[in-house]
Amino acid sequence: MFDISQSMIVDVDINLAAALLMVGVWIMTLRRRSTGEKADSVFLYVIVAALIETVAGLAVEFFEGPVGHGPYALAVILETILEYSITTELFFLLLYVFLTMHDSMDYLKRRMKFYMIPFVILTVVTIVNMFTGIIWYYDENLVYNETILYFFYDVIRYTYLVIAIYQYANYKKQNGVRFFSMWTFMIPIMWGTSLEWITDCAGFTLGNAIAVAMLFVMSSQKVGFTDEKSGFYNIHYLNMLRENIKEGKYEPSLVINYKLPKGKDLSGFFNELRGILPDECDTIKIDDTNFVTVIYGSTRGLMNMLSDDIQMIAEALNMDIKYNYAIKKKEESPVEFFEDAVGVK
Amino acid sequence: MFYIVDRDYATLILDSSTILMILGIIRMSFRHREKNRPDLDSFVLLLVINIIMALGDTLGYLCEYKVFPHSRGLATLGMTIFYTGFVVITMAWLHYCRVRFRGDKLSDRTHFAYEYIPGMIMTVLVLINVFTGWIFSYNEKAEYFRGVLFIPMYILLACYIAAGFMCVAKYRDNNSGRALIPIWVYAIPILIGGTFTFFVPGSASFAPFGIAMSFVFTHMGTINEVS
Amino acid sequence: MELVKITAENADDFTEHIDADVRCNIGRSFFKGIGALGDNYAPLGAVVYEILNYDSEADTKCRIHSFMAADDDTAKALMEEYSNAIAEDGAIESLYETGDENLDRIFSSYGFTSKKRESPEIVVTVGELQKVAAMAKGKNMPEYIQSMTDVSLLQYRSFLKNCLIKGRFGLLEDLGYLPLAWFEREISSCSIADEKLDGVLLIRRLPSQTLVPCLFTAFGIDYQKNLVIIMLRSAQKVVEMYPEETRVVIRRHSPGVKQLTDKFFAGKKGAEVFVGRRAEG
Repeated sequence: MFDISQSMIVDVDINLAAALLMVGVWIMTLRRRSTGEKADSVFLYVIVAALIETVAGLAVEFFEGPVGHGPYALAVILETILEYSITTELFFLLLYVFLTMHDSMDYLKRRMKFYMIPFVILTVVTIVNMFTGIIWYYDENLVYNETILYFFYDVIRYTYLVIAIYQYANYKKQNGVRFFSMWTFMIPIMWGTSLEWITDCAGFTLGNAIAVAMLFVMSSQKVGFTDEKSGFYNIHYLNMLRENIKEGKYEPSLVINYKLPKGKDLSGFFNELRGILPDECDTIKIDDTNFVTVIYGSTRGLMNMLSDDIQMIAEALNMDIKYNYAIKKKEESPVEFFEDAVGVK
Repeated sequence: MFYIVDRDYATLILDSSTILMILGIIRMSFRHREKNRPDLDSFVLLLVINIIMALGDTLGYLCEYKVFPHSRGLATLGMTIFYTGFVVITMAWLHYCRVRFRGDKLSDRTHFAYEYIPGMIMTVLVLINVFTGWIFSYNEKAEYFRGVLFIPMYILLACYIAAGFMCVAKYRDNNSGRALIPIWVYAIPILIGGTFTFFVPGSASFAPFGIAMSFVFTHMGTINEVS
Repeated sequence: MELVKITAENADDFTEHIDADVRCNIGRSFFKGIGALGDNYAPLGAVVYEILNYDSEADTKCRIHSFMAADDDTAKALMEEYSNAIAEDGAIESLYETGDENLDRIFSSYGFTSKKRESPEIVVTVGELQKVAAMAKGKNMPEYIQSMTDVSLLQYRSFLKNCLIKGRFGLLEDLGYLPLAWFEREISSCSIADEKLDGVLLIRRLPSQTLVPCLFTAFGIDYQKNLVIIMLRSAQKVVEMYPEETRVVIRRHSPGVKQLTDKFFAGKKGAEVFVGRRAEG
């Protein structure tokens, strides 16, 4: 049924590896617990797009020339799916990076029109291409060819990647970024693109699959540091934070220790606490009744507000919440302050 | 003189991509490392051995079935590194599973003495294979042949891998945590990789890639479960 | 002569010595006052000062907002008591800013050194604000730009905490201690994203009906755009609700504010004032 040549085996091998990787990542993403962040909802779309890309890439090897013999329509449909899934993946990747950085649906909605316009254009062009071959086409031997317009088609869709990199770089300049690195995604993509360019094999598909797998690993790391019941960080995060403070990556300025009553349903307290704490802080579960909040930055007047809020929560929930806090003095080192305040050495 | 044929690209691309992926994961592990986590240290060790396997695999496949000066020697060297890494990684995998899921400590030497002896013996056999040819060999044209101990070696590797997965399964049974994905699902990539390598001699090796996928998925997947 | 602490309860006893716009600050956390009472508890003078950087790592300083004394003895007693009081607070420097040359001379006699320079405050009228408000005419105000009357206490407090952490206090050392009602909510504006505030312009109305923008800041990816829209909304509201001659005092305490005022009120300059300082302790 199929003529098998060495080059086809190579592309099938590579696409198969990429498809397996994406299937695995997809299954694991479907079944994992969420961190509650808005980016999680978009991540699945990135993976599905990458999965479709790898499967389409694998399938098209059997139908396109010079080895495959069609049918022509099937080859065109599969190649269209492959190209469009790359576009879709890049679009959702931009949304994913945006939400990872800003965690705000409102900010995203306000610029959605701007983001959607290229996507709509690319969708229309992709559909038109199926019938006209203005971007790419198959010749009489079912060999894939690109027209001059393919370059512009690529530029438009890779603009999404450029915008994502720009947003990441901008955000990183002003804020710390944890559990995400654009380079961890970009390097496999660049690697795969270079391999494909040099060897004319399906390197990009595998590079892209690895890049998406890296995204999965990064987000899984965050899940690994999150306590499922409270949604705050767990004790492993505390240990990691201590190492990061020793390395000078973070400088805590205020630490609040809470002691909660045993045997009570604390989910209400967790929600309220999340509502009163400022954005730039980490709350860590030490054990079932002990939590700690670590705040970075200026603390002027902050504890005054937080004390009122904690007491207000305790009264509203009719709960006996004990807490104490420590503010870093100028002469104290961050590590000493942190270890003394949290009570860990 | 050394030359590249079509089928070599698959090896180059797969193995280099495996190494790249592993390096990325190791880097991420170091960025968020904690002290006194022997399970994470064991996981990183697994990945490092996987890189060595991938390098050996690349060298072996690029040199086999080709005639140029030292092609036989280089192919032998490459596959020796690959199979040595393969044996060691399965022992390291069992060790990782025990440390991570059973809470074993390195200072606890009772299991150390027994379960790993067959693996250590096999490691020595692989290393001396260049003289004996019991696992594999190459002729003057660098054509690959399997030796008498090839299948027993694979059986031993499969035993170690299965023992590791059984450790994970037992951990899940003993914990009230929610098992999100059946344990055998994690083993699929390694089964595919191993099967590919076993039944299709001379094809691009899925083994390093499949192994990396299985181990990384197991590690990440169990992190994502209720602790 | 008796020296007393001026508090919110007795501040009105010193109406002749403390301007209403300064007096309304007494009772705030870091505003303090010392009054001198003569025979029959007749007020003879008062000094009102603000403690700066009190609960921060920076050095504590004091700014004198008001100083008036009936005679030299009263002035001397007030100044001594002031020096003792701020020594207890750990202040290392005293500052003042005044357009009154006589007052500057008095301060100089107590060890202050001063220079004459342009005040960082500019005063514009609501009439001058009309051209700023006109920029928003015909444009739809986005839904997420609202008045502070629509904002809940929780939203306000959450935003304040983020301001405190980032060290954005505007003109208010005691931002964390001020209730929302302290500001004119109708003309103060905010931007909202995901039901949280991410930008505000808080305006205070003084007893003399002077308006003082106190905090003008925004966070997030759209902060620059939001700042402009917030400002336009507030300008519109001020123009709608206040007569043309109402004064708006803008203190250009940061390069960002200075840039903004240079853009919208080009050529507007602050008055010539005496800015003085004295090392303490």
